[in-house]
Amino acid sequence: MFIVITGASKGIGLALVKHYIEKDHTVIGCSRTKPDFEHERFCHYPADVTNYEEVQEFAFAVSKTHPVVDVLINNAGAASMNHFMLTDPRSAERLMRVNYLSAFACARGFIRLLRKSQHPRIINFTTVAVPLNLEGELAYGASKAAVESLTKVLAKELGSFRITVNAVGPAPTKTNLIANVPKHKLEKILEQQAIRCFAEFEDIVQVIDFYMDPKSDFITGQIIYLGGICR
Amino acid sequence: MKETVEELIQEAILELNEQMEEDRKVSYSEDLKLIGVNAALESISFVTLIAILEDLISDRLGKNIIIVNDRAFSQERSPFRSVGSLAEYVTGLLLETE
Ligand SMILES: NC(=O)c1ccc[n+]([C@@H]2O[C@H](COP(=O)([O-])OP(=O)(O)OC[C@H]3O[C@@H](n4cnc5c(N)ncnc54)[C@H](OP(=O)(O)O)[C@@H]3O)[C@@H](O)[C@H]2O)c1
Repeated sequence: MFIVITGASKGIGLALVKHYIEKDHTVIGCSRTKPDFEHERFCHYPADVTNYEEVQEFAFAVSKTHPVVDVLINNAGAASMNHFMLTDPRSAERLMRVNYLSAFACARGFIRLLRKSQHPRIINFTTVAVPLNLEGELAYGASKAAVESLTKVLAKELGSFRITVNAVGPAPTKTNLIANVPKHKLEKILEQQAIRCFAEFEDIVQVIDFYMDPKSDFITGQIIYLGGICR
Repeated sequence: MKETVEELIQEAILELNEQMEEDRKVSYSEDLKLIGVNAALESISFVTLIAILEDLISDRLGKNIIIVNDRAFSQERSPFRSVGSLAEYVTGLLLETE
């Protein structure tokens, strides 16, 4: 399969790159900085997903070498945790751009190439912060709630192209993203899970593998949270 | 340039027809109505047509354009009202990229 992963330089994105390379797929990843990883079936493209022109250029560059994209994984994202009164509206806007509008722009940019796949998939990233309505995560949670709407509505609008659109909502996973979140706050989140531990990369991969499976053609508009968080 | 665009639209319509039921197929003409009341295409077919056309433009002309943007919708007369106006609009977009 030919897989495009945004936010491929570190964290979950880089773990996904390595996993799909190991599974013999071909991967193109984008991010602003270069990952510390090289492989003949992996290509890195420098792009800021909050810049629509750069996303278009990225999709165009991919189309030059790969006219068909099977999977688009909108993983790039950022978080910021602060009380509403301590959040600059500009910071909330920045999160909306990097979490929601980036997925919107990438879906739009890659639709032409996805359309030509036998089992086209778009996979988005949300978070357990949405169903848990976590205090102090308004800006992040709202941007990911928008990603959930995008997932459900795109599933309908792209159904006639047979493109499935789903999302995975990881529980806290040890990456840079949560490095600055105080320990007691993370523990409070874990306490609300059915299974009270951090998510591992493999847990996330498991959900994505399921969405990607050619046998999952009829699974679309779904959101799976890890750790036993329910809506 | 306009003739090239018209040819690509013709080709896009042929490709679109391949995906449509017999009674939904459309034939190319300059005044074929694309959107709005009495449009020849359902909205999903219009979206598909635009996707095919963007693809053909990218493949044949090596140009990356987005046909449906805010500008297209802010015009007093929609560039998507007919095949003829679409051809004119897309030609304009392509000339701008030169
Ligand atoms: N870790 C968690 O606990 C957790 C929980 C739930 C959901 N998630 C979601 O999982 C996804 C991955 O998160 P992570 O934990 O792996 O975070 P991370 O370690 O901070 O990595 C984020 C990735 O996104 C890229 N990125 C950020 N802004 C970008 C931009 N403007 N343009 C292009 N790439 C950009 C970064 O690359 P550059 O900086 O090089 O651009 C990096 O590769 C995110 O969507 C996040 O919301 C994470």
